[in-house]
Amino acid sequence: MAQDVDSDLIRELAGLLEETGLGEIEIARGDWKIRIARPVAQVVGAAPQTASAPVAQTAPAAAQPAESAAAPAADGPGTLKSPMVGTAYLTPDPHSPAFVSVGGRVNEGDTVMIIEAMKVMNAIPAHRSGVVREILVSGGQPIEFGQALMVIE
Amino acid sequence: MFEKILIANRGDIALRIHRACREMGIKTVAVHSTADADAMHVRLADESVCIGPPPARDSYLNIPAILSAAMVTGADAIHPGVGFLSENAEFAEIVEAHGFTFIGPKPDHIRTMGDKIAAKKAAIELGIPCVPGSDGAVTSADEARGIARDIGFPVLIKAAAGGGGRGMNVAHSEGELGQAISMAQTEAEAAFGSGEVYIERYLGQPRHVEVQILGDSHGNVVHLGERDCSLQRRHQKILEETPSPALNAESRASIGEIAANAMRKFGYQSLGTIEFLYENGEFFFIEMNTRLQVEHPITEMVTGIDLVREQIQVASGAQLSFSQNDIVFNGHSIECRINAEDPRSFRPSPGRITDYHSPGGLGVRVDSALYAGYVVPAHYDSLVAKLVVHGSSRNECLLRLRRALDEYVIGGIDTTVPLHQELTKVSDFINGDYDIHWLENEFLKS
Repeated sequence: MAQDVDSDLIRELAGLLEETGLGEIEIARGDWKIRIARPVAQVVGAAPQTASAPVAQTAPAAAQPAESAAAPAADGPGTLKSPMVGTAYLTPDPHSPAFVSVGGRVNEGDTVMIIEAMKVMNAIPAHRSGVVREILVSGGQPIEFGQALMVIE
Repeated sequence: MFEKILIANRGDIALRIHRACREMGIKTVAVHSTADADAMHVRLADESVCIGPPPARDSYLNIPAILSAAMVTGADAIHPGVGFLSENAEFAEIVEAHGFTFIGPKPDHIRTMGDKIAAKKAAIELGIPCVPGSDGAVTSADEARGIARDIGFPVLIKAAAGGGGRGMNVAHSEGELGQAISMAQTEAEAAFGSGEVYIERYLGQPRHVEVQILGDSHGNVVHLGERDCSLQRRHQKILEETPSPALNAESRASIGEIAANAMRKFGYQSLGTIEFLYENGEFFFIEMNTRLQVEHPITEMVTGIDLVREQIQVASGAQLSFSQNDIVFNGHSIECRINAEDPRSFRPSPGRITDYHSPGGLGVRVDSALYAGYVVPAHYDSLVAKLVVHGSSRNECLLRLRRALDEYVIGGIDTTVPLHQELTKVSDFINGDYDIHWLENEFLKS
């Protein structure tokens, strides 16, 4: 889905916004569309994150929503979901290697990450045996209940 | 002042708290169960954290999850709302121990008022009139007989660990007393984990009149008038109004004074409501709710004071910005609690809202998290909207209420709007002539 973003156009549009005092400008050309909006409304995060400033969104005409940092990935049986709220850690301690890596094999019950809640480190077990296809969170990231952590297939 | 408040609740009250925060420039964190992922306040909040599956004990009552959410979002304070953990003294203590401000009163005050016997003792010491009764728990039938002879029959036997209208038995004569006590003790043990019971005089036709108080951390306490909440079904309030049709300015000022003085002596901080039974010109303390109340909007309408804002202000250490003399009561206000229930059978009616149009116009306020397309979950209580009207007189209020109810459209589920429409046409209600038994014994039976 990589697209060459016309930064000159965006700069021009942003300037137009300032100049005219408009809140939003949207341009569609062929199979792409740009929308620039100014900070007014709040951005609701799907997971805890600092309130992000609105960004210029580029989208193909099929209008797929831009992926935010916390957007949940595929929701299949391979997706390991968080059973709790806390902070994710991918290594047992700052000096050790990660519990698992993409492409690695795990058995059901193996610890794949830690979620820390109120100073207590909770080992999160793999819900099935298989190969780690994707790791969807990073170390130090805040996690909510039900959030997709990784995909094991 | 706080930079970020975590709202540990759901539904219309969570939306109410969010609105107060937003108007104060305070960021909000909405914690929610998976069933509430599309709730209006979750959509509007600055940040949201899913804390568990639908059951309350795994989400809205899940203290570790709520605290973790506060930590990962960097909240400064937690507002517990109404119900759930709002009157849980342990929760208040844990919140404070972890460096967050609990937006509510001191944990010890929550604890004292949560135990009905301790609350009554405290009330007596503070000069609040109480229902004549036993001095603490009653342990023997002989003791009970003695007390009953003093206060007169009929008597009410109540569970010390009960509340909200549960765990009460009436004995009409000495003959009934022994059995009534042992039954009450057994039921109390089973329902509340404590068989402790106490006795009070049974009031035949009382009204439920409660006084709103607000205290800061500098020793200032004011009262914000009373609310008449006598219209109840199974001890659940259906409609509330202020001022009470039964009180005059003198009795209002008098009970307000008594309540404020008592809370000043008590050192109470934050919002609180002292509930009384009122009969024949006398007030009798029944319990105190150490939190924001569902029906707070009617007090806001007649005083013009934003109670949630004041609650947040005092929690941040600010002094009350007004004194008792600054508080002026204007006009009349009524609130209808609208539940997602069949208006006749009261069978719960969760489901998807198809059409939604709330009433508007002068003096009409709707506190609701409903919207077209919203799915009312089956897991929580059925209150979905509060229709609040204000008028310069009770009569104007009644006309406005009728008009507003007729405009209200909530499609896709059953609601109790028709019940309220009927209520506004009944002469006893129009005349303000009702007590706490009226709704069940007269209105619903006809």
